[in-house]
Amino acid sequence: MRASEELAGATVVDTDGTERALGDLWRERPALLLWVRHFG
Amino acid sequence: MAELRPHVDELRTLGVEPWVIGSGTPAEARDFQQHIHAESIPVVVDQALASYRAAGMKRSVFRTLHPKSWARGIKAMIAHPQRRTAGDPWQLGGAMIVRPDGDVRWRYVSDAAGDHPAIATLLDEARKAVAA
Repeated sequence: MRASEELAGATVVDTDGTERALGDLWRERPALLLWVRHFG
Repeated sequence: MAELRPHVDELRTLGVEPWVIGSGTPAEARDFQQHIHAESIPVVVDQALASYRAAGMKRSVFRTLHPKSWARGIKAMIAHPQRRTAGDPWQLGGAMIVRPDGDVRWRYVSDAAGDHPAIATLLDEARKAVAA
């Protein structure tokens, strides 16, 4: 299974407010992505 | 996320970078990091939930409030007392390991609130991903 373009292109925002594509997170090295229900 | 904190160095030694994705605001993400003393784990936010949808994560009032979530919720609240909800309360989470070539080596989709993979599973799958 490969990461879809939709997934790689989804926009996320760093804690400093900088936008980036989700695919940037695994560009350099394998990434363990954890989607959490909410911050709480 | 708090359970992951003691294992971040092990993941990085393996060559796997952990990322947490939440649906709150950047300020709420920073506050949460500080609250659980997990500043070493990078957090990004996706208020539009686009990455949740693209990853196939579930969003459901029923699954969030289902009785089988209650025991998990109580257990989680004892271990990590919950503050106010910051983010979409009906959005469920999950996990994925993706290699630089875009190969998804492993995926976990939460079926209910409190349903998440064990830390041992995350570490095992991370080892498999870098060994492949």
